[in-house]
Amino acid sequence: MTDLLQLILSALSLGSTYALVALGFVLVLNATNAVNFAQGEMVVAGGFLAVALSPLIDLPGVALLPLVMLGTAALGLLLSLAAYLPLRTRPPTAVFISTIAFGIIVQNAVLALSGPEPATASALVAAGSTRLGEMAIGWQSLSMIATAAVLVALMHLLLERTQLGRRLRASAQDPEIARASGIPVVRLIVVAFALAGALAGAAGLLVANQFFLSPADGANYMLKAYIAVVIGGWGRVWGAVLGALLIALFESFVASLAGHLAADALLYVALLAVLLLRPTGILGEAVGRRA
Amino acid sequence: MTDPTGQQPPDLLVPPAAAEPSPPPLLALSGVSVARGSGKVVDGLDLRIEAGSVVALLGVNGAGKSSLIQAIIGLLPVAAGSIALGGTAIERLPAEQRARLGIGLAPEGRRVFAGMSVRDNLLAVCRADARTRAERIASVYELFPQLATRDRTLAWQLSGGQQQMLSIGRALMNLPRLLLLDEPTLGLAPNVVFDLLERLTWIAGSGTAVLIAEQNAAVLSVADRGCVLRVGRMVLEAPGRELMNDPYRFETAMLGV
Repeated sequence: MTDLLQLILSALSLGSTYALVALGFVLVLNATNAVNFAQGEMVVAGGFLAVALSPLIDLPGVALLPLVMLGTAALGLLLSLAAYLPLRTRPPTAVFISTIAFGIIVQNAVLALSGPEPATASALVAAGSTRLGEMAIGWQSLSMIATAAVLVALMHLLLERTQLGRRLRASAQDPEIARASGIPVVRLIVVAFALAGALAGAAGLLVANQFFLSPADGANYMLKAYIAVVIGGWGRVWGAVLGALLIALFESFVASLAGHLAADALLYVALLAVLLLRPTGILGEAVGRRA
Repeated sequence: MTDPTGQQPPDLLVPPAAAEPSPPPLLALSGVSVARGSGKVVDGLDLRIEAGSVVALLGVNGAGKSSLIQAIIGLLPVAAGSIALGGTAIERLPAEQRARLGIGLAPEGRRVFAGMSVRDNLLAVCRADARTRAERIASVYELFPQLATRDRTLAWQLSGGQQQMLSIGRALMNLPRLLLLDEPTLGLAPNVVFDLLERLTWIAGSGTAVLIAEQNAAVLSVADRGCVLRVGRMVLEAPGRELMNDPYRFETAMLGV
């Protein structure tokens, strides 16, 4: 029982970072109808930014969160200006390739600045663990889950309760009519990229505090986000978050039974099964996204 | 729903002594052509709409009505000619700027933001502070009480008539000087059409000019003027009542027989 709870806790802490990455990914997907393959590299950039900032500022990792998010939001902004806006009238494949290119540039910039060694940042809130009965609960895991939950809740408020959020959703659902209604759609696309960057950066900070992060890890996060979005329903914001949690649970359980290699392999088998049996995702595609 | 300060700015260049300076019409199209693919779908069209009037643009499928509406709002480029709103040339402006200058659009197929609530559909497009937004929503609900009870309902769950009301309500949220409607009665039950047309006269009564592209001749009952379009050209223009009472003349013009 204790093992099971421990496993769920570690799955949720992993899942919460996947959720942030997937949330950013789906925001850009909805705003542009294009897949942003640089999202994984944004995670790495955020993680290494946290690693670089940790020794400079003697505060717990969570205090660096706003700085890191701001940094990767700026990177997201740059991504939209360099790799999306010039190609927005081209077919989606052009953007897909340009975001891969941008991701490679970011990855190599991180490599050049930090070297190839995996790195880790200071603890998010506190190191060590507390005991709940027989179970040791790592502060790190708890604070990862809590931080991600707060960020997801803030994103929810932003999207549902603010004019910016309503406009982002309206532009995502029907960009043409949004334009004809006076909504500055292009500016909102830039905002979506910046938000996606900020969320990926936050995920990077979370993982950098818990695990070792290496410059080549981006592709892994990107793929997890992609799978989360496929499972949760292409274009569904909250589906992506749920999909991310499901993936992490799946990965953690299979890994504990059969090892990490099997977990990765089975995840792709599960993805294929979802694509074959429920191509619109477990929750179905966003209703009327292109009304 | 028209902003009284927004219409017909005084023409400062004309001295007051000059004999009856006529203000520019709210909307003036001259020689407008619109191309789609290789052919012209609107060909050298002239049209003037005064503030507070209702103009029906009639024609069969493919006559060029929708293309003209889209060219006015800026979703289709104008190949030739000029479009002026209150005397300002707008034909080169992007759609969002035209909307900001006072054009509201209720597009063909309604195209409400399907995954958003009725309230959020209205709020999303509104360019005003929170208090004014709430007031404008109240005005839209006054105009279409059916929407008030469905405030939190997602737009895709509404009936066709309610979606049409939402689409029009959305277009009114910024108090447009000109309201464009593309086939608003398509697929609606006759009593819903009647209701909708009545509301359009109310909207025009508040000073907003209304341009309706339709196949349904019922709109002539509320139109000050009816314009019949055939293969991109204006073939008949007459007072709405006159056309309604002379269906033969009207149908001949529509079909070109």
